[in-house]
Amino acid sequence: MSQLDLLQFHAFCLTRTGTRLDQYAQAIAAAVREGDTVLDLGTGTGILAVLAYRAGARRVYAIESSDAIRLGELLAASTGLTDRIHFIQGSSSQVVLDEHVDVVVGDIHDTFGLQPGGLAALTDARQRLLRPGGVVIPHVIELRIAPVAAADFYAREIDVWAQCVHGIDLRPIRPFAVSHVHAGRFDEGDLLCRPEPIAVIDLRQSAAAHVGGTTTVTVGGDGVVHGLCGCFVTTLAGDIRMGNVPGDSRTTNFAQAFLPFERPVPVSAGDSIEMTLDTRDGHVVRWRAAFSRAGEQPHARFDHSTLHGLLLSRAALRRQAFEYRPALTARGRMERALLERFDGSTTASELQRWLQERFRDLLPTDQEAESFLKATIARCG
Amino acid sequence: MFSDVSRQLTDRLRAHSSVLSRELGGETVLLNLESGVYYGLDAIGTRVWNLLAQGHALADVCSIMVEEYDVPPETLQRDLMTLVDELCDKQLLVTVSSAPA
Repeated sequence: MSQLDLLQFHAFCLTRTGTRLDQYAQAIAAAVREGDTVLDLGTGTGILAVLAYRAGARRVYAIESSDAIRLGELLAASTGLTDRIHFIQGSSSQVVLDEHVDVVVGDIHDTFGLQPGGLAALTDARQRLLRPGGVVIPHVIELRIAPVAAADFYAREIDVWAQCVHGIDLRPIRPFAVSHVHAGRFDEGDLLCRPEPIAVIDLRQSAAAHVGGTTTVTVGGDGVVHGLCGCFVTTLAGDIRMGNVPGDSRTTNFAQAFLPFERPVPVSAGDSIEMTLDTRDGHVVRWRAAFSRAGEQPHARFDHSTLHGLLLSRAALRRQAFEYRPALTARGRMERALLERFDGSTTASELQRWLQERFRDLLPTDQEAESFLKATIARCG
Repeated sequence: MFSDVSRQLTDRLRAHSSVLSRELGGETVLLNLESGVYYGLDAIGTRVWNLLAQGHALADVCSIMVEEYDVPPETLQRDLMTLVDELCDKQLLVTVSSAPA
């Protein structure tokens, strides 16, 4: 994400996500007691960390992997909270604290529940950094799903790849568009039935990365199904809820997820649709559906996954397997040699000169050598 | 000879219900979404996977592949059983039936 993208993303989160922040403020006020320590996972601009302090926390650890943490530090400094909020940049799984916190809070939602990796991050924080009996916000995320009629969206996002441009047939690309979880905005009227719960993630105790389930619905009227609408209802704490269910999404203004089918399916009132969802912490998502008329065998079946949407080369595919035996490339050997010179006494300028002398074939220009060096320093030095 | 003495050449197997497969350039990656196990099949493993997916029993797979590859039948059968056992151990394949064809 570019720095402008970061600003725009957080501006959206802070000003255009309905009453989401109000719900979080209520949940934090309900959970945090005077003198508590709080961990804010994915703090971004640090708003939840400030709210936790206001709710009585004596210390807040605010973790953020992106450079948005600078914005959080600015806000904390401007509100005089520099000593109370400890900002830590990096992956939360790498963070070690001197104490166990009383509350872990994280707003890491996405259109269909948690962001990819969000479940692992919250579970790790709960297991390693939260004291026994401590509070996790959110408590529970319920994933819901419904068949959706989305002709315009489908034409724009899927069938855009079913045309010819200057005589070039784009259809070979279309399967990749089908194999993605898209973000769309749907009204209650677009759904062919009410969204049904398909999986419940209890963040207070769940440890499994796999989330999934099956539900069957009966269609109430005639129409055409283009895919599935995925949405969520989160219980932050107590009875404080937020979500993005079409028709009941006042709390967030989040888009919903659209999981397309390879082709639209006409349906009639009384038809049943069996819908199955599987995901491994959002990294790979699989959605299946079987359409049946009353008392008949399914006449249409779909089995899609984001694994089939990855733009992989054969070499990249091979690297996905545990049996893959990586061997250092020429660039890898260069990086290893460079890292051995990260000894705390050699300057970046000296390292760049050494790189250019030693690896002129791989880094033929000053700019490439500097770029490689700075990227390596950012990760490892 | 067989690592799983209960396995029969009449066995038919199919992908575990939680397994996704993606073929590219004659090789395949398998992913069990429940366990998180990734597994890579080379061209020969991919041929085995596809023949099993078509409903062939292990004996049929052996017969077909002996015709296709320059390899002694006993070697192919041993390697096939080793691969199938490993894929079953990793919950990537499950036995559908052991009935004779």
